[in-house]
Amino acid sequence: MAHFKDFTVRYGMVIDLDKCTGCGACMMSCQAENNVAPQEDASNKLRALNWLKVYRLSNGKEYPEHETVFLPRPCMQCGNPSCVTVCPVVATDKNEEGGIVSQVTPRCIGCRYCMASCPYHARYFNWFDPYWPGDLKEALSPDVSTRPRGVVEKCSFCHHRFMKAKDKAIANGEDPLMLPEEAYQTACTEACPNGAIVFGDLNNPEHRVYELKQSPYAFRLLERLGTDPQVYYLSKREWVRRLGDNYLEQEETGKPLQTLLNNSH
Amino acid sequence: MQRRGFLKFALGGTVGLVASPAIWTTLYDLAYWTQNWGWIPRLQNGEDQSVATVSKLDGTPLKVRVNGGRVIRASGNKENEFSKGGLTPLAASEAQLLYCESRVKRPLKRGPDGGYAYIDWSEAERILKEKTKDAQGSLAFLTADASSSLNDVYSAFTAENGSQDFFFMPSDEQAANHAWRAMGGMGKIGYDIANSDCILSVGANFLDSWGTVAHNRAVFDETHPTDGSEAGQAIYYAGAMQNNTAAVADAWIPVKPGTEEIFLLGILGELAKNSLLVDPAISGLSAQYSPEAAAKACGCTAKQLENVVSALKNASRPLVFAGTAEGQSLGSGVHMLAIAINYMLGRINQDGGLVNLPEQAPLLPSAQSTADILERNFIAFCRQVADGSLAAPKLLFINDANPVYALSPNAKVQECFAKIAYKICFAAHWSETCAECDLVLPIAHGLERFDDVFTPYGSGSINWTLAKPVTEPHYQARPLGELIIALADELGLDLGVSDIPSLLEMRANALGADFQEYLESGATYQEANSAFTLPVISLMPLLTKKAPAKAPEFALHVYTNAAAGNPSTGIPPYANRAIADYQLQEGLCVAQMNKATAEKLGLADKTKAFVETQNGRMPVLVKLYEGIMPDTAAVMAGLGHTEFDRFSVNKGNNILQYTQIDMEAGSDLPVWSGAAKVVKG
Repeated sequence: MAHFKDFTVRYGMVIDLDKCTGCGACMMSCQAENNVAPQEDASNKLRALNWLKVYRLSNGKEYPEHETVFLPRPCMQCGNPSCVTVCPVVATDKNEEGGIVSQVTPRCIGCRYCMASCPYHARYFNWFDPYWPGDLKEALSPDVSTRPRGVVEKCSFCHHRFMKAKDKAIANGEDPLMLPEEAYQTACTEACPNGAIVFGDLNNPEHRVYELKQSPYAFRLLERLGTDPQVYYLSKREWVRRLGDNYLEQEETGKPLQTLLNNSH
Repeated sequence: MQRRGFLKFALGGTVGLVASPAIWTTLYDLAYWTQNWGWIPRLQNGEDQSVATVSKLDGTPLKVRVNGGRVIRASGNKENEFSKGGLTPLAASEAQLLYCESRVKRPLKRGPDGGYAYIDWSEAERILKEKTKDAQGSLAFLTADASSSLNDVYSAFTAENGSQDFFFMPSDEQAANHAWRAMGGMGKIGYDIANSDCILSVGANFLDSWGTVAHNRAVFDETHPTDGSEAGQAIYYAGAMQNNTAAVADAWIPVKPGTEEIFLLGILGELAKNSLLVDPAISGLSAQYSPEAAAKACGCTAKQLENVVSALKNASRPLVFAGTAEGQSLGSGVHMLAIAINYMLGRINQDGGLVNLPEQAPLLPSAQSTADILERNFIAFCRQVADGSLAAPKLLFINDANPVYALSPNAKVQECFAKIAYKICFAAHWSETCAECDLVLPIAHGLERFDDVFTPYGSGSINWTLAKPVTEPHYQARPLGELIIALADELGLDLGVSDIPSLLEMRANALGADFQEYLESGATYQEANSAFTLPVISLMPLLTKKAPAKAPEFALHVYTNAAAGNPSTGIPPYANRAIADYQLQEGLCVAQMNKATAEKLGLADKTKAFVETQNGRMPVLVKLYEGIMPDTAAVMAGLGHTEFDRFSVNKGNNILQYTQIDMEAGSDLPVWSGAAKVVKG
């Protein structure tokens, strides 16, 4: 499938759902790393803003046949991002080596077309004035600008870390497009105590994600929409993989998308 | 138009415009849409530092980023062999908890009208000295942290004041310690999770909130490769709900709250069937519980129970343990049965089994051993003081514990407090317990003080991680250890230590560790379990054990969300987003139950209802979830705070105030009862 744009370096994640316990350490780290303003009440999930959200999934069966799995959902950094094509002010783009979909909040006019077009609900409107009461703003990271009310926010794969890693590589006389895996890791990847999140360059055979994405247990969310997500999931459980997309009854999971499309014709 | 008319029009127009919101709204919107927002914080940048320490909230080794003197965030410490860089959601909140609004900023004294007024530290020290002097021989001390070496200072101070009333908050550790000691164990009970190849956890959410979580999860990561190859450790979780541990376990065995003992007896009986180890204690007790009978009482199937037994038998290093969510002790019976099962499997003092962690002598002459402190029961103390069977102490010190929030009303904490002449709360955060005390003193947060984490409950070996200050104490907070040593000096008491770093150096020397090295590296000292001190495990206490009570008709399963703080921290600022809509919705706690249960009760998804217990009725919102047993409702603890800050209050109700605590026959240890009803709202 053609990409929106081809990149030499394409960062992505492989998340092992059989290892995620849904503790939320990734969510907490993400907020602290990216200066996501805290919310007094986040129980109204239509107004809560999450760059990364952990969902609880169910196999849909009744007790005692029921099974549960937790699914962390960052931005999929799609190869063909539907959000980019609808943005009227080019506040979101996919135009930089690394293949990360940018979100330029000072350009955003808050029209929310991108939210409507994102099939993963990975984009959130900032409904409230960002507020760090008391001395809480002392803990703001100097790396990520705070955002005002009225703009759309989303996960950036901790892009500032990518910039720092590239700067460091250049300073050391190394190739910034051939970063070793450990040189650039997202906050959620680092935080996960179970090692459920693996992060790296999907095009680099030296990075673990290169092999992991080819696992027979790997799948992507709503893959056949053609968004080409750069986030892969792993699960040995068939029902979990089936939840990833709208499969027909006779279809098998774990097959590359092209095979599925060929078979369907 | 006449001059007068023009003036009237102009004046009216001006007043009208000023009074109308249109002009202000336009200006406000203009500011937004031209992006001249002045109200978002400007970032400050300074020199970056990374300081290695440990979280005093749950023992997670940390690397803390400090920028220009400001603490930015806590991350896992990748160089630490104990946690391998893993981070828990609570430890991830350390930096925000350091600066949050709920910090106690200055000493506060309660006036005659019940209100609090700021006082300065010299006045606070005067009161502290005067009250301690007056309370000679009648001082009680409660602390929430059982893994700190600073407890030696506090318990020595209590003893030097002529009292032995030094308590920990009730916990699983207390019950397990009692069972271990009663059955002949020495030192501390240890769980060698790292070396086990098959784990059966009964109720202990050990991959989320029980024991050494960061370490347990590092082990889980190592034994469960991401590349799809075979796992090196099988996990079986028995409990009322498919929780975080059950979600990744090889099998979930449903066990109704209150029937954990019966489940373990069923396993014990099945193991005893073809075993060469025949013991009258086991055969007598387990004979009544065939797999079928036990399974029927617990709510699982006999096949599930037999499968677990078969997995345990076939494993080369199986390990069985029991536990609960925070503070919900089940008494010592479940722990005794778990020990007996490990004994039957030959897993006492074996790699990957239940291990005897050698008891460490107290560091100070008058200090009490951890095992002795664990034998003391705070709930029994409160009840006795409340009913007058025990003389109330004149003075109570509370260190960062929140019993008013965490303990059920029938623990009689409030009644006990009413009888204590003076209560002093040493707290980093303003809590429900602070609001019941006469003097509240701001103490240093975990990132502002020297402290340590010494072999926390759930460890599989003796281990020690040093906490060092990442920043100077903020506001007027002072480290409690130093404050108590200074107070002892003022009172002419010799505790045998001059300051906290010296105490921690004593700990290092006792372990044979290099204090400076561990101070700088943030590494965890771990002792190899090569030379086990063999205890002779006796099954005799099981002979006197009464048959377990029948399960309640309808049970309440209280669980925790590790991100949502603990009774001493409240809900950390960023944690609200990690509270799911199946835990809190529309300002109400959510009661999860399966469809069959809801239909039986005449309830539907998202309807309002009440959880009814002996302590009253709590409003809830019903949510259907099939990962829970029939006739059981699951409600999250940690909500319903009335103190702390804006991030903690106005969020549902505190389910812990509706639970019932009974005392276990024989041990007199607290047992949280799951008996409840859910009725239509």
